[in-house]
Amino acid sequence: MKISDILTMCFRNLSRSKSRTLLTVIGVVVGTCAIVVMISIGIGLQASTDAMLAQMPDLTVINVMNYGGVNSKTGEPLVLDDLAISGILAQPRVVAATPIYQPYDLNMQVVSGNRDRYQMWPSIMGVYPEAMEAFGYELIEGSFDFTNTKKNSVTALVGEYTDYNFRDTRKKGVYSGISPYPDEKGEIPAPYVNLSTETARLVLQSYDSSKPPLTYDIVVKGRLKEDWSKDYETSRGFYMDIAELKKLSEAYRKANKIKDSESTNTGYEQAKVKVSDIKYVEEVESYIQELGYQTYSMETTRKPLQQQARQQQVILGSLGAISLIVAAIGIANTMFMSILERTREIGIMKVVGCFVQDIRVAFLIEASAIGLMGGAVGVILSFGVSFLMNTFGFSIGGNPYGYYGEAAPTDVSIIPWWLVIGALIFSTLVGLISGYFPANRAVKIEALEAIKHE
Amino acid sequence: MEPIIRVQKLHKVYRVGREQVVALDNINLTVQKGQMICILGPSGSGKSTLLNQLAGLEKPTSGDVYIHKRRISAMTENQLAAFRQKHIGFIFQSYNLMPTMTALENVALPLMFRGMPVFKRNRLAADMLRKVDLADRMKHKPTEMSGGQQQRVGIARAFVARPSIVFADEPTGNLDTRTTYNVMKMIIEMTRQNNITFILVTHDAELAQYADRIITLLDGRVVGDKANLSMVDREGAEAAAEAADAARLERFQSLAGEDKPSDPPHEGESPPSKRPPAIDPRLAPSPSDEGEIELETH
Repeated sequence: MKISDILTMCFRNLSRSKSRTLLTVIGVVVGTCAIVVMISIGIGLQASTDAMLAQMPDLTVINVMNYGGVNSKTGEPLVLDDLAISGILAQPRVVAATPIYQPYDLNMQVVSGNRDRYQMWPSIMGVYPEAMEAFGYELIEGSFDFTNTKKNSVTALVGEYTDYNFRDTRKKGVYSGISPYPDEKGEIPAPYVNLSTETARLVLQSYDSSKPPLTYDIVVKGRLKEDWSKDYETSRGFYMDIAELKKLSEAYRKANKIKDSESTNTGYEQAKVKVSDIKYVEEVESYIQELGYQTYSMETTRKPLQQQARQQQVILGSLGAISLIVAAIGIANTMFMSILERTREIGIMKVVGCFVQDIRVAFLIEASAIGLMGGAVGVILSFGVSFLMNTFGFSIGGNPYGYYGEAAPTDVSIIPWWLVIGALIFSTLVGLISGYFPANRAVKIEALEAIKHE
Repeated sequence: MEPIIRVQKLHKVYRVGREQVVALDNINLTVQKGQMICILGPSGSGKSTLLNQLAGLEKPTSGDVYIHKRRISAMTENQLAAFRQKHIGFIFQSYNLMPTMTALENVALPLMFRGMPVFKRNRLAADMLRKVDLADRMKHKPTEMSGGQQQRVGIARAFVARPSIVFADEPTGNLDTRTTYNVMKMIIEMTRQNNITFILVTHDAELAQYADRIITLLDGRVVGDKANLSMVDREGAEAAAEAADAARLERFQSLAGEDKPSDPPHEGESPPSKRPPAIDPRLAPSPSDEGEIELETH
């Protein structure tokens, strides 16, 4: 039999008992709609969780810490130096890595203006310049090029509002600075010093005030966009090439005759590792932990959140699945009824020379068609239900993680394209499976018995 | 000449509860191509069972059925379906038309199962319907037709795929005398024209007169197998048929009354085609080894 003939036969049979077919299809419609809406709510929950997570510090960054750890194999002090970092960088899935060096032991000042009138105590972070772009630092102006050509100077990137850290030393009072917030007129006041255009110097005060301080001109190469998911320095600090910052530190030690401490031999205390995708964070993190370093990433926060979202999805999906199972029983029942009614016809078909597999295929197609029709209508109905839920803000659960900041409001119910395809395939499969036993029954009908059947 | 149908030591036993009912008891027979055979017997004689065996609708308990040298009793269901598509046509007492299909679609059904494209099979089916004088009923459903018309649709369906054998199980059982005559005439014309082997199952001795050879069945055994001499002139010989029927009935009753039939085995060979309307000398009963029946007792 040609497949077109089988299809024609199926649809003729389905349209023969229209009301029964319709009722069975409605069963599937309700089942599909229930499962799609439930899953769409689950996806909505997931989306709001994701929106929340997006506001947290970069999820793909692992912080590596080395506060006097020991190598688990050799028992020697753990070293986190450039070599170790290049080793981590060589791992697959790692797109960038940089040590982080903040010379807290240096007594630094940034001064500007006439007779150093304006001063600040800078927060300086030393990083690999080449890693900055990969870590997602954004520039308002300038570039990540730290090339230094001027003698007795340092190059740096400044944060978006670093200028506002200058204070006027001649001003008396509680607060001698300017805040970057709109005043009564709604205008943001200008800072004392604009580091992009005006000169400033970095002053390394001596250990004891008897020796003269080391001073360097600051060459500002660019201004970073404030990003609280990264560092404080993007807002109000300085970034320097870590090599240059280390030289400063050495010069300072030399000038003050400070001997190298133990810690300087074990390299950096901190490093950051950027992973290509969130799903590899766990893998890379456990690799770094195996090396003996302590790590911290948002993965530890993200996981329970996602687990919870997944659990909710499973519960919601199961609720929908129950109604689809009921619909499946409906399909099977309809098919059995239909076979009972058509016993004689099946017998005739067999006697006249119809292959049994054609009969089987015909019944399976009939049952699948019921599933597919129900699925299609169910999906359309789901879009309507989803729209109503989103419009009238019907909400399940709410946002229990408000302390991470208010996430942008997301839809309660989201129906992605894969859910549409999945629902259609699933409902068709449900039809197919429900039709399996009835089709077997039809195939086993004895032709002789059937043609005597009235 | 190789017979078209050969039945060897065919037994069929049904289990009814704890009882075993022997429906067919050691049937041996051969049928030549183009023969018109009647399997005659009262209800319960096993004639329908024999037809089912010949058509491969049921598996025998033991023994074999060969059609075109192929052992159909050993075929799988799919092989049988393919075999039926190619070689076998059926005519039933209750017509067995598909109620949702038109006359045309019903006739085209065997061709559809073969996978023939719709325009081609509809053309062949329409030709057949014209042959059975139903050109104006093509789009009618079975419920919109009389019994005789329905059976003509059944006949068209049985012959549409050009089978080599057509089986008919009480084809006129639901029809009145006049319609019976027309229907049988139609069947005979078709089988003769196409040299088709025709096997008619009936309890009606009168109907049996249409056949070349009558095989009488009783209690699952062949109790008579002989050429039918009354086919002199079927078209006008109602009286002759009646007379012959009376004689046949008498003999039938005498056979039924005895355990061991006294009749010697008869040969029922018939020529394959182009039969003259007059008596063919070859139809005369003659003891022969071809197509003999064994009247065994158990």
